[in-house]
Amino acid sequence: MKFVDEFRDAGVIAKAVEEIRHLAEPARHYRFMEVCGGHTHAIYRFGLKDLLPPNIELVHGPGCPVCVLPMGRIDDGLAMTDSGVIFTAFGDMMRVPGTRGSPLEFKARGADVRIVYSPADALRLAEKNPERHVMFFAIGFETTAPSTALTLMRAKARGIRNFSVFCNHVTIIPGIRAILDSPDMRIDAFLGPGHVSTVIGCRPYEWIARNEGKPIVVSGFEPLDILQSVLMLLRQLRNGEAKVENQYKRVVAWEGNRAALRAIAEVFELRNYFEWRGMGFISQSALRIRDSYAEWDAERRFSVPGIRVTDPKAAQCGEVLKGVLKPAQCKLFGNECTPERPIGALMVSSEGSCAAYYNYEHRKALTNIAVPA
Amino acid sequence: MVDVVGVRRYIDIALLQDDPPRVGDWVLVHVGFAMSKVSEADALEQIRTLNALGESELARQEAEGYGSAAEAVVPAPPLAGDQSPGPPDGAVGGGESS
Repeated sequence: MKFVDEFRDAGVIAKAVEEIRHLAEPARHYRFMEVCGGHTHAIYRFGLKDLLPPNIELVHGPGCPVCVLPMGRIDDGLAMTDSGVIFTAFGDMMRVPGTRGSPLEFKARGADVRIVYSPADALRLAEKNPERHVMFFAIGFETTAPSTALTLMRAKARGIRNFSVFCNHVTIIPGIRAILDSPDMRIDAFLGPGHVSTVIGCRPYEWIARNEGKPIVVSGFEPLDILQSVLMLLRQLRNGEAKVENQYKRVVAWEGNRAALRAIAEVFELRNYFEWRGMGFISQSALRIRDSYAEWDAERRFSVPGIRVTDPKAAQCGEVLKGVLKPAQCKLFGNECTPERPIGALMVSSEGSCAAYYNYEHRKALTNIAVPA
Repeated sequence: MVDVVGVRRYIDIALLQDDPPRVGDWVLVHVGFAMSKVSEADALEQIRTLNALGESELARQEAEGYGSAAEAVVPAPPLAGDQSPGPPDGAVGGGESS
């Protein structure tokens, strides 16, 4: 496939790895955080961790929307099914456990729960079912927020009133700030999120370089994208620099996507604070629907219980989410908590570090045990 | 209408209104919306940079005095230079499918 095979070329990968080994100072331990769950998935899927020298540690960041969503919001959204709405969400939400079960378990018990590929599909469903109310459970960072915004603009323009959005959109910068402010965190540099940056561009990261003195490279998702980004970070560190660089130029414009930012600004405003799973309340870290779109705001149309649930004590999702613990260091990992029966959200989404680790690393380890050499 | 690895789907291109895509362009699609156009020029430049990794290795070895005979290093760069633009162009031509 175009611009995929080229970025998986084994010969070039070998050269990039060689260059990385040359640049990394053997006496130094590097901790690079990949902010985005898409990177976490790619790193495990392609086994990139094994290609890097052992003194380069990749720490998984908070950029997995399903993972940072507190369980109470799932309960709140599912509570709306009691009033007979059609509950729509992306597929990766379906097995995320709430206190009374996951959306899929609600469906099994008779609730009208449907997977949509796009918020636009949820709106179409509302148009086709004028006698029903269709609620879209919106989730995601700035990558997804413009699509929800545009869908709401369409609903308003067409006067479709049997449609609403339960907004759980979060913004990436406050999440990164919370990580940097966390006392038990030591990160040398960041791999910046590729898809979020198509919307927000590269400027919003400048404070990380300027004020925190940490290099950040906005990175693509193919093996060579990630390896090249690691190289760029190593070069900056070797030269004593801290700047924002864009490795993913073929997709990310420095200024981002202005039309997408306009759509976000038209429909959403910042919440004063929002709870992130495992990280607590972070101020100005999420979006809510503006008054001018109140009619399409599920939080205002339905009585939302505002459920707050503490995560199971034994699960250490927060520590894993912040990169303090590796997935396998959690007491529940692979025992009580598996992708088939997830306890924490990190085990649900394919972008969650626990699921990625379980699917690619844990299984590999089990295979090695099962087949002794 | 886009072709995603053989599957055809309608996508919304309103978010690219400032720089609308044309038929044949490659776009990054997320949840049914085109988010960004894929720049062929930037992709090719990146592939060139990556292919040049070995060349900079040679240059470094030269700078560090690796290998005493200068003639062992000199013929290498033009050879690598001839090769590196080749594979990406060919690969891109072969990869065109829409």
